[in-house]
This record gives sequence, C-alpha cells and structure tokens, in this order.
Amino acid sequence: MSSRHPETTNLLSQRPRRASGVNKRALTLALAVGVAIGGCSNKVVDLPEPMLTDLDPNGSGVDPGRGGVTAGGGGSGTSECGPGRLERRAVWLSDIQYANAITQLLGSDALDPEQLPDAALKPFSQKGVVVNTSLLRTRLDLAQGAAASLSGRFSEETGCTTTDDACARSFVAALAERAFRRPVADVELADLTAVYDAGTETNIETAVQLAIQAILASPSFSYRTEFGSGGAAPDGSVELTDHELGSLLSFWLTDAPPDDELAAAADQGRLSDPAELERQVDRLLSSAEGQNSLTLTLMSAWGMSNLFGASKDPALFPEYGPLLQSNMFEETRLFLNQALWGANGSIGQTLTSRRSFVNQALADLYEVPFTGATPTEFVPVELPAGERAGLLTQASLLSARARSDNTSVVARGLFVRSALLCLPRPPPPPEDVIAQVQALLAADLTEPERAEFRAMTSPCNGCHTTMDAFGLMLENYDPIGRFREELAGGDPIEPSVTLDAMGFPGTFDGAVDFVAAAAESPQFSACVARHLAVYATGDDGLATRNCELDEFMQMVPTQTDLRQIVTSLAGSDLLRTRSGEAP
Amino acid sequence: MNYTFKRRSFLAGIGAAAGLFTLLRRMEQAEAQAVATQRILFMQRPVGTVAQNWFPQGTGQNFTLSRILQQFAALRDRMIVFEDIELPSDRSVGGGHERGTVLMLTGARTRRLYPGNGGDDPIAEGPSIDQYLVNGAPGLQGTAIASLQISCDSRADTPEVSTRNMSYSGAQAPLTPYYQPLDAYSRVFGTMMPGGASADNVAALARARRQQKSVLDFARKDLSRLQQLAPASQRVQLDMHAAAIQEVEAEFDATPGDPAACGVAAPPEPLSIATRLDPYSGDHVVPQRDDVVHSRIGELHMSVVKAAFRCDLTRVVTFQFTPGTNHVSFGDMWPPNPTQFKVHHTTSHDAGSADQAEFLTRVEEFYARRVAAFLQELAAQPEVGGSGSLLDNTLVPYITEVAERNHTWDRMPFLLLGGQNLGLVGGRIWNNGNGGMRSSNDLWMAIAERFGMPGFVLGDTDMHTTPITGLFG
Repeated sequence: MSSRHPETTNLLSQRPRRASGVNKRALTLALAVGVAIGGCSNKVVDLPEPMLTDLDPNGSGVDPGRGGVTAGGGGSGTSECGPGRLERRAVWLSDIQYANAITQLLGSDALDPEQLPDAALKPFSQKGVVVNTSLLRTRLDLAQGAAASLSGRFSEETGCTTTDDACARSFVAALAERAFRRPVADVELADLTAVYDAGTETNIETAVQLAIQAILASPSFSYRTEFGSGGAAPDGSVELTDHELGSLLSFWLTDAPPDDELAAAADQGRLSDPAELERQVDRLLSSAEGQNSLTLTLMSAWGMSNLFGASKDPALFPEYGPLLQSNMFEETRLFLNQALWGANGSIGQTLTSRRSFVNQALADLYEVPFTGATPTEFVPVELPAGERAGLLTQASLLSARARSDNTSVVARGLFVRSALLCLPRPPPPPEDVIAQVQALLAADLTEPERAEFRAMTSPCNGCHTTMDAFGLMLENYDPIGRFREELAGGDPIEPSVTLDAMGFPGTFDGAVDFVAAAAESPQFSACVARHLAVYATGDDGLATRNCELDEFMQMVPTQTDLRQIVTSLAGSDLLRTRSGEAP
Repeated sequence: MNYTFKRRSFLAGIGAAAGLFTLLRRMEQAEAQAVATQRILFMQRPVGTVAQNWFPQGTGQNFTLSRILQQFAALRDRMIVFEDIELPSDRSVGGGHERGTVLMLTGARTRRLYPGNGGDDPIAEGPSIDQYLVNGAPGLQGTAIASLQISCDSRADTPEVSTRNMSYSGAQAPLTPYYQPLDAYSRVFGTMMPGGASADNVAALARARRQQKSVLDFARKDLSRLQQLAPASQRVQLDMHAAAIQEVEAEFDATPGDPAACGVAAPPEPLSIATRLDPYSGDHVVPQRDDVVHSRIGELHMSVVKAAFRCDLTRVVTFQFTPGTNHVSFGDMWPPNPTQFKVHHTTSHDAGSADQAEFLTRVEEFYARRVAAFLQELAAQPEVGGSGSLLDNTLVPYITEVAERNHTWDRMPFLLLGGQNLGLVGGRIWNNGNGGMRSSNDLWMAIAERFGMPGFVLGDTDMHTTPITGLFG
C-alpha cells in the first residue's frame, strides 16, 4: 500500500495494488458514500453527458413499466408468459425506408443525394413516428421533388409520350399498385384520377407528376399495414395478409419495399406456404443489399452509430476525428458482412474472426502491414492473434464505448452485458450517491482502480459486480481501440476476470479468451435473434412475458447461422399474427 | 423579383405577387372586428445562466438590474424577473440539457429514452405549452401559419431529438425547427412569382392551388379509409395525422403574405452553419469562430418573425438559439486569451473557475443583448390596425433548459417580457411572496389562463399546483 496516502480509509487499504497518483480530496469525497442503500434503485440521476453515455451505452431506455429484457440468458425465461401478441396496426415507414421506396419506384434521380438519409445512422432515422405537420411537410416536399424529377425523363420513366393520355393513366394506375404494395380499389383509383384530372388542366406531363406526388404523399405509401384479414382464430389472433407479410419481410430485411419477385409471390397468395416463405427469405438474404441491410440493423442494435457522437481529446488522440470514425465504422460493416455472410459465415464468427479489413489509417492503428494500392483502399487483413478477435476488439466499438480521454469500464461492461448478451440492464446509480460518483470519476484513478472501488463499496457493488468485469477484460484497448500492454499511467494491465456472476463459469484471460466462450453461448445467439425480432416488430419493449417471443426464442437453435434465425423468425407467430378482430 | 428557392417547398409556385395585400386586408379586418391581436414568443438561450450575474439586487419593484439583465434596461418596465421558478425534474429520465429542454415546455415527466441516441435522449410524453396554446387559446388562432419553430444551430452532441426541439404537437411528435432563415422565410411567405399580379399570373396561381390542393385531398381520403380499417388503439395517432393534413391544407388556403409589405425587403441569404463538434476533454479552443455567423442567423430569423407578426401570419413562435449542448464557439470572450475561440457548452463542463464564470456571463450577455434589441424593435413597431406596438400584444417568455452549468433546475433564470396589452405588470421581481419554488408548469398555466384557457393544467399531477396569480393586471 502506498505510503503516500496514509489517511485513506480501511476500505482503500484493501486495495491490492498501489493507487498511483490518487487525488486525495476527491477520493475522500468518494469514500464518503456512507449510507448503504441496498442493491439497485430505480431512481434517476442527473449526470454530465459523458457519464450518461457510460451508464447507458445501449440506450435502450429506462422503462420500469415494461419489465426487464431477457433473451434466454436472463434466467426468467421460464416464468409463465402472457398475451404479448402485437395488436393490429399501421406502421409508419422510417425515413430510410421511405426514401428507398421512392427510389425503387422512380430511380435514384428522384431524390437529391443530400435528401437521402445516411444508412449508418439507421437508429436515428425513425424518430417521428407520430405524424404532425412537421413530418407531413417533410414528406410532402420529398414527394413533390420526386415527382418534379420526372421532367426531362418523362417518356423514359413512363413509357408514354407526353400526349398519350390513355398510356399516362394506366401508368399511374400501375404505379399506385406498386407504391401501395397491394391491389388498389376502384374507389382509390377514382380519387387518384381526380388528381390526375386536375393536372390535365396544364398538360399530361403535369397530370402524371401531380398523381405521382399524390401517391408518394399519401398515407398508403407512408404506412404499411398489419391489419390481417379473415376472422380471428380461437386464440383471438388474425393472420397478416400475404401482401402485408411481404411488406413486413421486405422492410425488415432490406429496408425497402418488396421487389418484383416478392410482390408476385404476395399477389399469388404464395407467402402463406412456409416453403415459399423460406425461399423468399433466403433469396432476399442472398443479395448483397439484403445482407448489408441486415448487417446495418445489427450494427444499429449494438449502438454502433454512437461512434459518431464519441469524441476524443485531440491532445491525446490527434489522429481521431470524423474521418477515422467513418473508417472504423466502415471496417466493422465490411467485417460483419464477411463474418455473417461470407464462406463459413456464422453468428459466432462475428465474435471470433480475426479476418477484417483495413485502410492505411486503420492498419496504423492496429499496427499491421498495409497492402492497399492507395491509403484509402480497404484490404482484407488477418489481425494479430491474441490481440484481436471479432467485434468486441474492433476499434469502432472500443472507441464508441470509451470516454474522450480514458477508457470506460462501465460503458464497455454494459455493452457486453446488455447489447451483446441481452442480460437485464441494471438501473443507474441512485440519486443520493451522485456526488460521490462524480467525485470518483474526477479522482485521479485508473479505470481498474475505480472498478475496484465500486466492487468494494455498497451500494455500487450491488450492480457493478454484474458488469464491470466485462469492461475490465477490455482494458487492453485504449480509448480509440489500440492494443496496449499497460495503462496510460504505466500500470500493468490485468485483463484476467471471473465471470461466474454473469453466467460464464471460470476465469477468462481477457477479451480474446472470453469471446470464444461467448460465441458458443446460447445467450449470444438468442440476443442476436432478439435484436432482429425487435427490428422486425419495431417494438423495443418486447417483454419477457410475451408468449410469441418466448415461443420463438425456444425455437432458436444455438450456434446457428443468421439465415436460420431469420427464417425461423419469419415463420413465427410473432411476425405473422396480430391480435384483434380483422376488419 | 426574380428569385427561386433551392429548397423545394410544397407551397412552391404560390406567390405573394398575385395582388394580395395582406396589410390592407388586415386593416379592414381590424376595423370590422376590433379584436386585439395576441401573440406568444418563447425565446430560449442555452446552458442557463451565471446566477450571481443574473439575479438583481432588491425585491418587488425596488431592484437594481444585474450585470446580465442590464442588457434589458430599456425594457425594465415591461418585464418580470422570476426568482423562484423550478423545472419539475424529479423522477424524469435523460441528460441534464436533454431532460431540461423537454421539461421546459412540455412539463410532462420523461419516462423513456430514444434508443441509440447516446443514451440520454428522453422522449417527450406530451405536447408543449405553445402547442396547447395554439389549440386552446382563441386569441392565438386564425392565422395562416398556426405556429412557427425556429432554431439558430442544429448541433448537439449526437443527432439527438430532445435538445434540438422545443415544440411538440404530442407525445413523441417533435416539430422540427427551421435552421436556415431562408427556410423560415419561404415557409412564411411562400415563393415569389416573377412578373407581378398579371392576369396570367393570377390564373396560373389559381390553377397551381387547385392542383396542389388535389394532392392533399387525396391524402385526406386515403387516410380516412385507413382510419376505418385501423383498430381503436391507433385512433389517436391517425387522428393526429388527419389534423396535420387539415392544418397544412388551411395554411395552403390562406392568402400568402407579401414579404416586402411585411417589412422584409429581400430573402435572407443562405448561411452555412458550422458542423464541428467539440469534445468534452481538451481546452475547447477551436480554429473557427462561430458567433459572428450565429448572430447573423439569429438576426435574420428575427426579421422573419417580426415580419410574420406584422402581417399577422402567425401568433405563436418558439425561438431557440441553440440546443442546450451548445457547440457555438465565441471570440473575444475568453478572459485569459480573448483571441481564442472558445466553445460554449463544453467549456461549461470544465471545473469551475473565475475565467469560466466570466466567459459564461459574457455568452449570456451576448444572447441577452440580441433578444433585448429584437424586443425593442417589436416595441418600436406599431400594431397594424391595432393598438400599441407589436411587443405590447406579444408575451415573451425568455427561458433556458437548465438554471446553471451544473444542470440544476431550481431558480430558473426566466423572464416574462412585453404583453402590456395582455395586462402584464412589469418592472418587478417575482419571488412567490417568499413562498418557495413554484413549478414552471404553474407559470405556463397562468399564461394559458390569461389566453383564455381557464382550468388548463400542464404536466403530471405532482408537477404542478395552481396557476401563478398576480402576473397580469
């Protein structure tokens, strides 16, 4: 024990290692955590922004009314479930889906590039689910712009001359059917004709543009429905129609409307056949777009876009900035695409594979040779054994889950716990210890020392013993993900952790050792399945009580590939049925 | 007036040059009805204040203006300085500025966070007070544009929702502000039609309107079919959609204003707003100075707001200078080295120091000065066809999302300005008669009551008591 701190309490004297450069005043403050509050509390605290990022890295929200989040690993999966079936509903398309729907109909010229949402920011794209004037105006403007883009390519897009009224009318009718992703009723067509007629006052080209504008600005284009048809089954459920199922599948897996083949299968009523459904899912997942879309969905579920909000101290990390951030994001996208969809791809590969992609900047960061022709080119690389294995050791994730000047054991630990394994997320610290938490963060301690303090102090240890070890095993990676053998202050790193409390028996010698076990754990594949179910249903509150989810989760085999999970999910009641009387 | 907007607007092609003289019409209306115009303008600045340089010395009507409030000296008799307002923040979720911004005007406890937005971005659980007023206060209705949302900077730590929106039409339904003055201008005035009010132009305008209206007609009919099929649980959401269509349609039907006649001679120049984000660590000194452009953006926005007020195109405005995590950098303000450009919010997160307090005070003065100057402009502008000045008929809460840099929510540095014709009794400090803190919701309830909404309550039951009394004569 360091003699530099004679006045520290016996709590500190239990510390096995020297406390290098401890800020005495702050530590005294931190140690003043007198009241034992007993376990986790649901009280909410106010912390400076960087700390809140630490506390809630997956950002899945505090919602006491919804119950915890478990996916096989939470231990409560066997308790009885209740009616959790989703209600019949209309679902508002996200901005990305809306933009894709427009370009699928009218080509990429239909939108200004600057109007296209950034797929990397997928989780940010679905905020305004309640339509107000603000959201309505945005889509009205996009619809008008897309319609106006037909100027100069009218015949090319419509196949009609600018004087052929009959041709133009049938183009509009056919477009409406594709746009609405279902048959269009006569009364709808009559209403659309009224729009077209208003445009003919000017000319046919205007009439078509106006009708297009009306189609793209209509609720039928911006919502997809899950109303179902036919009477309710004895259990009160209704089946989605083939067209609804086709749209659900397509927007879920590709963030775009059904392509011609899927639309045809829906038209012919073939999607209720499980074999056909599986064939379509397989087909969608065989396209590069489909694969990439699902990769981005998982990246979004893992909160990877938080990387773009994770800033670093320029004095400590001069190389870090928007460019490196997007390089890191791109590496992870390429890596996951290969790990999930490449030869021998599997979910487990995402945690264990060392085959990644680097450009010059990332090669420098990983300290591997760079073979690209130009510094910006991404080339395949085998990252160093023992140092790297999969997602957890990627610079993107490690940077996103770190503070600007230091790592964050809590942020990284919480990521593994709640985003990777879907274990229940502990509540934030109770309000009455906030001053002490702040003092602890301000104190001149290393991250392992802070973790040690939390482990020995009530009430901190009530929750932190269930997450900090996950973060401690990642201390070999600095705030921008570079491998290191010692901490910034020169202390050696002891990445060895025991994870019994988290359901992983034994001692793990750092992240690379852990991920081998995690990749084979049912928790991990169930958690991936759960993320996909959340994206498919748009319901991030899917509760453990939900029977449909339970049922599906029990079907998910461990150690499977993503296609299998997606196929099981596509055929599950969770997706195909809704509660309530069909119209 | 040969000008086309880069931004595509739904109202494109509908212009003011069709011979529609809003001001004349307004005068006629005013003579016919003699109803006084009422308005409310919420003006926000970020990161709270520096209490010792904000709160005045004295009580009641006998007080000496503080250093920051000195900027409002000319408006002293037209303002109430609040000493004992708190945001009802207890048991809400979200970061300091994040939660504060949502609570500031919605008054409703935040319970959920947006997934993925950095983990501290709370979802609004109800409409904001300005939107309650739009829907419930008769004196604030009947204009072409129901309400207008303005912001001068879109940057926040992440692309989060909470700090970047002040107005909500309902739970989880932010009303996105206009960042570019040009966008605000084109919303308010539509698009110019070159060539003036010739017969051809008038005919073209009428035709364009019929055509655009058919698009909205289709949306309305389509939605009503969807409403019939949807279960009861979605009724509220779809009704809101229907109301939004109706509101856009009403705005579309309204007579466009002539910007020149309303006092804006030329469209605002497009300005490029900085995109740099400043990290929490480091010295928060950046190579570019933002405050000059920032000030210009504010000034241009204000001229659009003033013009909209003059021509009575809207009566409800929320004006945000920046999100609470303000990334604007300021020159000439950092005491140790005024030539450095220092970022506002991240500097506020540094350990407290005299230099920091001085810097934060200077930024507060920067915002106060601009607001005061604008309000004086409103005070100098007579109400067309009404009594008094624009300011006399406009109630202006001057607000912020935290009390001070350390994210406290008691002793909120709020002012209430203008509104003489609404009966605001200015020239005094309000301290709740030494009765302790009152919820900001009680303040908004008092204002709602003044605007003709007796019995209106805001926020969860434990977040308000009764409307504050005695603010209006």
